Amino acid sequence: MTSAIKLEWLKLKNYPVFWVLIAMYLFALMVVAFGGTFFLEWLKSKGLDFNGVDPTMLPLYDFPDIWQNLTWLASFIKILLAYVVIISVNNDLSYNLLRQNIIDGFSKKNYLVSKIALIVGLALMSTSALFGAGLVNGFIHSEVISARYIFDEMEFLAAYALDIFVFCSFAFLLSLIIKKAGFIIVALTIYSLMFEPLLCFILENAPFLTDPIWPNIAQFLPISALNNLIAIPFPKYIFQEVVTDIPIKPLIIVLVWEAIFVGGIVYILNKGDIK
Amino acid sequence: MGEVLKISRLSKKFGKLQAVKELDLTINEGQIYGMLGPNGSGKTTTLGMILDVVTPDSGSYRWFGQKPTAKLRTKIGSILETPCFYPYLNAFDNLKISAHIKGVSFNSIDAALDRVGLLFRKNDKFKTYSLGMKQRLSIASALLADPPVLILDEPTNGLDPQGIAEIRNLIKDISNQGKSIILASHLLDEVQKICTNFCVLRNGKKLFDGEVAAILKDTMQYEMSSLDNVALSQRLALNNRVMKIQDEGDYLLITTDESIDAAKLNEYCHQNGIILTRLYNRKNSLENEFLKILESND
Repeated sequence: MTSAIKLEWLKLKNYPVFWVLIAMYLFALMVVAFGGTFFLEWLKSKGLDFNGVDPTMLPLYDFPDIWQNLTWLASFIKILLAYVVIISVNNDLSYNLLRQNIIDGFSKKNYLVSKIALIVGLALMSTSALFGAGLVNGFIHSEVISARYIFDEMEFLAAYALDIFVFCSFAFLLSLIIKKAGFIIVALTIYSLMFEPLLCFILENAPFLTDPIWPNIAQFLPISALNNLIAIPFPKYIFQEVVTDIPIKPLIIVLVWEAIFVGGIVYILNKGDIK
Repeated sequence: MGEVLKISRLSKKFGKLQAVKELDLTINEGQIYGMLGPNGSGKTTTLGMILDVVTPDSGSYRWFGQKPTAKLRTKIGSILETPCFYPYLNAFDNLKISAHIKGVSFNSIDAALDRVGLLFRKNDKFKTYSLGMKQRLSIASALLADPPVLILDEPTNGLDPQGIAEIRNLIKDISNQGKSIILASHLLDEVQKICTNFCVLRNGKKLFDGEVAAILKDTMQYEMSSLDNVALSQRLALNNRVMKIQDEGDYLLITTDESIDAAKLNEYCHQNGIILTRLYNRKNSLENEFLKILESND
């Protein structure tokens, strides 16, 4: 286990692209985390209001709601972390390093462990960065500052970490199937940001899909299950509707998808010849 | 002598192509084993299977008499075809990865780099290396763990004559330390110069295996010349042990029966007043034998 983690570290430690991507991601994450007030100011300057409520009055950074707000927003840029996984796996394949590692005496199981370790590392890094950003923002803006509220609803951070973990596992599987990094990056981006949401929209709204089974299918698709982990927080400000839990159904669907992704990865590593 | 590798009835198909068919091989400790065969004869596929990167369709193999595991592979130093390293890492960082997998201290990296003459470039990125340097780096990587067995697949590919000679000397050095080497090559000359044993593969089937020394025995062919080759030819024609005389320009190529050797030929000429300027007993070459083996199996 530690040996697998150390191997991954040796591969990435002196790889500039890795560090640039991480830096870009963290920058984007901070923009998302700290940009809320600016965004609301901008909405206000455009003359927008929510049922007569001034947008800047929205308690975006109030503990404990901040956790749902931030994790929901930050979930949009998780695709940048998937790129890190894609590039790392693709380097191993395109430079024949996976093959060389195995020839040198690394087991396929250890290879799986080393990449899962990378994914867990990315999820933990992102979650703790977001936690830190949340604390800072909360201390600046929150109406209430007490441990009881600060550490309430931590489950959103756990869901956020799981979201990244499963999404990056998906990217890992794709990287083993498709050997061209650029192609996977485009395919994953289009699928998760356009194709699947569009498909869900059609399933849920198309007039010709009259059978009630169709709108139900959408929630079982991987990206929409991941998106359902953290419910959209903003309706609560408008409709006073409160969804402050991690719903159990998407959680189960997501875990099943994770099992499918890891199963696929294990299958490819074991069955295929490693070129 | 202990058994290093035993392959039993190993087979592999890629689609319709039978890459390796029911291959049996045994390689013992201390042998330098040459795998010969034209391109596409199944050499690399076989090596891929015994290193667990190609899944065999059927058959089995054992390393050091044991069932193969990842741990056992750390005792094998291998290069398969092209050198595989991260282009953006320098030589030292690349070898750290192999050293880590093989459970070797990073302190031994410098020695391995020195051995292949790359120590002075250890901080340069792999992508800046010439093909010969890349090839030498992969040999350094194979030598890292000081393994009892080395697998070298076309190790002199892309090297210049000096590089080829260096690698050849390196291989001889290593074998002198009692290590076993499996060398896949289509360069017959290379195998003849280095190997103790060899096998011939074609279309995935083993056509022959045996010792190199047994093949390279003396033949009954001699290259001879004297100051006057015409007189020499006439005189040799009178000897009934000489079966055939061919004029090869500046020398005569004669074929004899088994009752005469170089000393007796020399004595015969000397007694008849002919001073030889050249007398050379031709050796069989692996190339001859290889072509014979391929022909006889057509």
